[in-house]
Amino acid sequence: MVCPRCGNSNPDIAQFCGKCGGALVAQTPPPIPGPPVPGVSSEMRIIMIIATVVLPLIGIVMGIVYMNSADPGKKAAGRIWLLVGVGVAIVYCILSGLLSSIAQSS
Amino acid sequence: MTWLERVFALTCDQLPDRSPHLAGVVFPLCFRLAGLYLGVAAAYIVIIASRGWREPLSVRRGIALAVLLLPFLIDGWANTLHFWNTPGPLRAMTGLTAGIALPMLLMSIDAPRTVRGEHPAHRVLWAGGVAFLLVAALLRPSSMAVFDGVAVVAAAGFVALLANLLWAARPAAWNRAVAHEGGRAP
Repeated sequence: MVCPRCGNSNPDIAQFCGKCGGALVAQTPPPIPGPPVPGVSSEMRIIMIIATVVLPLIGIVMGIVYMNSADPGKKAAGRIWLLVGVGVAIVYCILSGLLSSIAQSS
Repeated sequence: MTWLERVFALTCDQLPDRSPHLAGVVFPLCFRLAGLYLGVAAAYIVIIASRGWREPLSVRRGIALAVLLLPFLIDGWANTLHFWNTPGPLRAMTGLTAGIALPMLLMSIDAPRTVRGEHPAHRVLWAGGVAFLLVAALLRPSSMAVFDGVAVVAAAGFVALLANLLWAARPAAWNRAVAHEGGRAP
């Protein structure tokens, strides 16, 4: 093993350099980058959230489709869209009485 | 049931001509929202009874559930915008189908990601049957006790739906999903 400080050659089992006394660190290969995660682009996420707030059914349907994807990124995005879609639908249901009252008064 | 009237007054117009009534007593919810929350209650009863809270939805069954929301949305907006006027019992039925679909969609969010199961279709039919009986008890109540009992079931459905939504959107689950989406978590 070569000392990173002075360049002296040392036995492989040595923990310290026999010349300068510096600590010897085992050489580890740099991590190999994995394949890029396809996931969902940030533009797609923003567009989907806006579309879901306007029309909850869009988020619900897209959420179900993406939740059944094999890609973990798409699966997670699908969970969020489905949650937002159902949440907005429930809020619309709760507010429907208020909307009706406004329509009646106008 | 004055306390229920006050609770639901925040969420429903409670117009007497759009709400069920018995012997001069008006139900605390309009036909549509009564059907919705009775459908929700029926769905939770069937989901719990059949232990179906951990089963993910396939695309086909998920979209079929989403389609059940359409009558509620289309008829609700059409009535609000005065395009047409739907009779009360039909309004209750549009609410009923949407009420069955919402809990089943919400429950699938927390289902394990690794399991590829089929959400049984007969669960929807069972929930529909239970909800139909509840709506029938509301439209043709045999006594004031039945009328009040149906109101309590509807209130339970409302509370369960809100609790389920808050649980599905709890910070831990939300952060996990967002981290996973960004590829930072395994």
